[in-house]
Amino acid sequence: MEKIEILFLWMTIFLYAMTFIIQVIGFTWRKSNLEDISKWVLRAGFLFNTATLVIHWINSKHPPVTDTYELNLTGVWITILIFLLFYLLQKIEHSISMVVLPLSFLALGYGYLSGISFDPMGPAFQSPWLIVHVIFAWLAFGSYAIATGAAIFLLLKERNKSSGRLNKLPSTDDLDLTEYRFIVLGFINHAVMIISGAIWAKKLWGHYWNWDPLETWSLIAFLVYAFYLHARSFLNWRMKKSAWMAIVGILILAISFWGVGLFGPTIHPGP
Amino acid sequence: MKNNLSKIILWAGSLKQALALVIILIIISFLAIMFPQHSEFSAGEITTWSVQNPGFSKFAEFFGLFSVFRSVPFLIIIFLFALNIIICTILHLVKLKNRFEHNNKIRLTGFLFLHVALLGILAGGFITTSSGMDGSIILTEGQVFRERADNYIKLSKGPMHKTGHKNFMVRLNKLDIVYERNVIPVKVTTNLEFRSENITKENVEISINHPYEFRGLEFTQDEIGFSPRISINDPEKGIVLLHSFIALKTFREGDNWQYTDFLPLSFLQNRIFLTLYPDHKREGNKITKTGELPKSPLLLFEEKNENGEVLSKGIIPFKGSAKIGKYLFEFHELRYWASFRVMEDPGYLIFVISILLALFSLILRYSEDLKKLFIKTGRGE
Repeated sequence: MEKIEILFLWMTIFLYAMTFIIQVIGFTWRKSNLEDISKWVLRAGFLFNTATLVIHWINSKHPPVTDTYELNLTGVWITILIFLLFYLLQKIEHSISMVVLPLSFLALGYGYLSGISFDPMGPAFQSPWLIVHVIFAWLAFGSYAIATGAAIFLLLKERNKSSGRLNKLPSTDDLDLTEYRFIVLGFINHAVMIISGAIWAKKLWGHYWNWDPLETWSLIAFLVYAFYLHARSFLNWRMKKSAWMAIVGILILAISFWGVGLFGPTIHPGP
Repeated sequence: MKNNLSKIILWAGSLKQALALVIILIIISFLAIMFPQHSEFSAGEITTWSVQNPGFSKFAEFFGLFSVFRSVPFLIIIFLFALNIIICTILHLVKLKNRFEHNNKIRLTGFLFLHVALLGILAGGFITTSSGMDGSIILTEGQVFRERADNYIKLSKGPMHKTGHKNFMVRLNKLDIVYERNVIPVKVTTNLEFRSENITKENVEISINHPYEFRGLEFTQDEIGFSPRISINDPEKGIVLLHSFIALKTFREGDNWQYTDFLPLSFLQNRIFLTLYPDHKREGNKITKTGELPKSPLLLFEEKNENGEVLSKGIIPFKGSAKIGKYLFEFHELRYWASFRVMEDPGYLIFVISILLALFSLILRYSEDLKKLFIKTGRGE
């Protein structure tokens, strides 16, 4: 079973990477048939991602939400699920996958390098709040990643107004709206993640908030997005300004997900 | 004068001030991440960091960068933040009728409730910090704790906390650990017995993630470890110098657990370090730990000088003895210990209601945008 899981994981990484390459080639050289192919490759990759997740769940006998590998595997699955869902709802262009996919297969690679283990769930993890906390953390990340994709395309379109290949994308106004709405969605999920984490922390450690580096980074990211929403609503920050803020937000969030170990020990086992 | 006052009030409740405070909070939080912060989880971290960064540590100490979140500037920022929310909410309430006529009602309701909820979160936090209590206790199996300020290992109380103890005692009857593969603990349960002055008795099971409340104090299970009962005898003088349980510290690195501590005893010229192997394999002088379940416990005694060099050592099996230096060490018994956080949290209810209200209001505030996201309307719109 373990060998099958590793094989499926590599298939997932390979198919996500292929989707990215095919999408980039199709987008750059305006080959719509290649872009159509990339959509099917992505769906195949998602099926392998789902299978890897299920196999790992069966092998470890607990939901895959405890160690670095499990968190990244589950996180990428949720991110791609959100992407596919909103693509099928016709809310986003498939080309946004060019931003979402590199983040996803890098996360999978990082998770794989940290080692696959089938250890049982320790007592601290045996809480329903853990699952709520992890799912909403990745729902927030997925939403913010899509918003970042829209923000990057908005900036590209603003810079190269006459570029033919960018004309295919929605207007900058629509990209701006997409970016805003996905940040709203991410912000609400982010709030649920922080609230569920606080309730869990109270049960586990006796305190809602411990000012742990990971908690603090997560709060900084939350405040940056709160700033984004306020600046947009009341100071009328739109288009370029808000797009840059969306990019800053995802960078800070990425540090809180993967880079917090650089700033010293944490009681939090982050992804 | 009145004009100036209203200008100040309007400024204190303005969005620009709120944004400035958010930026300051981001900078403060960023600064706090760069330096280890004082907390119950980071006792040794600041010392280690200071040794590794001797140049920066004096600077950090001077500017209070090891306790940023407890500093006066931070509290002032939080106070200004609360003031901003209060004024902003009042200003919105004053113009409520007019606003309700000209704005989306659901959106405005969400906005107002959200700000009320934020105030509730700050109020809950303030009540707990000012009137709450946060203590730690360690109990070896069979040991009794009487609820009194001086019996806590660590205790911090808010300035408005009502002093006086709660007149009860608690005994740790038993600690049960279920291990998988003899190494990884999957269930840790403690059986506690609470007794009060009117002889009410409650027997409860507490486990990690499942705290228990007694007389307004919440007991949360924290660390666990081993307490060997040892004795030290002076054979020359024929006297017993020590006969006690020693709660060894538990150090964890992944699946590797280590139980060790030193004996801070004045009659010992050098430091004696104790390390427990709950289950072991012994080949000559080489001891290997084979599991966490205390199937064949063994104590390693090491006498070390100031430089950490081992001067002498002795290995004592369960119920055995060994002579180390001029003293005779005996290993009589082995029990578990468990530590508990004991909290009094008077702001709990306000805090929980407020965070749930905040979430509900946030959804209300952005319901229109969310609706547009989930209804099929065409790409990008």
